[in-house]
Amino acid sequence: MSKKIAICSSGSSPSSSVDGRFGRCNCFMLWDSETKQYKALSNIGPEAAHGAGTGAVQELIRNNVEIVISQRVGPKAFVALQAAGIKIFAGGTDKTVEATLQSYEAGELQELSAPNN
Amino acid sequence: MQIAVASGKGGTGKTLVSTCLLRVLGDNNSVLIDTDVEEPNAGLVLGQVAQTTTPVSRFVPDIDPDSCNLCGKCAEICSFNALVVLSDKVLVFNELCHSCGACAYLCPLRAIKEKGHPIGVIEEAQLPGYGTLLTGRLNVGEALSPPLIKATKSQKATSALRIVDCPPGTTCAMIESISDSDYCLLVTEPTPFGLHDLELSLEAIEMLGIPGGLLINRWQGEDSDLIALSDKTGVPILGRIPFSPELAQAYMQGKDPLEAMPSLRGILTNIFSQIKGALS
Repeated sequence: MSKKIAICSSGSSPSSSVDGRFGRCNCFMLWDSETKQYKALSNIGPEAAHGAGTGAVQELIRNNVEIVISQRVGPKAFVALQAAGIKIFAGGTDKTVEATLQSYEAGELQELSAPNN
Repeated sequence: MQIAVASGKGGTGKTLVSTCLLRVLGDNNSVLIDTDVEEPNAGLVLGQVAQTTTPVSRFVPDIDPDSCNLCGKCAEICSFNALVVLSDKVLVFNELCHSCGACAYLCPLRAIKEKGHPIGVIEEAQLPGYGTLLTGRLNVGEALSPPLIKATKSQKATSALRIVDCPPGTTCAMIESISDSDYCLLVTEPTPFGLHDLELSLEAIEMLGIPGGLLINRWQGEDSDLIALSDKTGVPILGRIPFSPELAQAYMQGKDPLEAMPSLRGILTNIFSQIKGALS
């Protein structure tokens, strides 16, 4: 079964380092487990005056994302992600997008059970 | 006449000046409006307890799940990302909503109604001989104060003298508080912080086209930076309240500052006549 994973990233390449923020991360790198391809999804969050987190969740829903990997997720985004059935995994400090995905696939990342920002 | 007492920097003496202006100028038809709704304290300074309390609500979207087809239009047009459309329902984040009503207006299926979301109260206290104190008090946890400030200011609109004790800063709350005022009295202090935030406040009143003047509080003789700023902007210095530990002490004990510093009455009367002069 194909899975779409969004990784908060500082840039639009798999070798970009991860972005610690969720709603205001620079962009999302979307990984499709079926096609084994990355796609960069720009995030309006850094420019948003309000509701960066909820806006980002809506964008992930539009893109059929099922899993998000982020270091920190705020309370409103957490509620929205949970309601949308999107799983949140914490991880990837100082790592690239690619290395973070490998950690996830190796089962090294922990699922977030509460907002941490 | 509506005079907004604002500052930029917090703790410069807005409430001291507002409450003393009321004590000096007020009659039974005057109103003091405390729009520092996150931490209103004019009532505390005046030793007043509210006699009446009126709840205030603002509108937030209420989605009828039977009519909604989850088209996503509401989330698309919301500038504040207050709505998230899921596969089976719409989530509404009241704390992000700015009550603009665009979602309800633009919903193709008219599935969104507006419902009231309580945000705070307006407290009213009679001050025999001075008029009325109106206090806006925001509920704990509410982030959006301008709708409550607007509602508080809409009371007793025809009073001859309305003094608005504004919140600090130059954010939406301060802008809402000073807007529609005839004059903005900016209370500042002779410190680098006071000067920095005063510059921001001067930009705000200029943008809104509200005439203004400066009152230097805790004055200790040296105020060349403030004079230079006044000269540069053309906003006059209307008065100076000298630094006085006795005044501060009396104020903190809830005593009448005009008794601790009798000259304050003359300073404020003089400021008021300059304001009247500027507006005539």
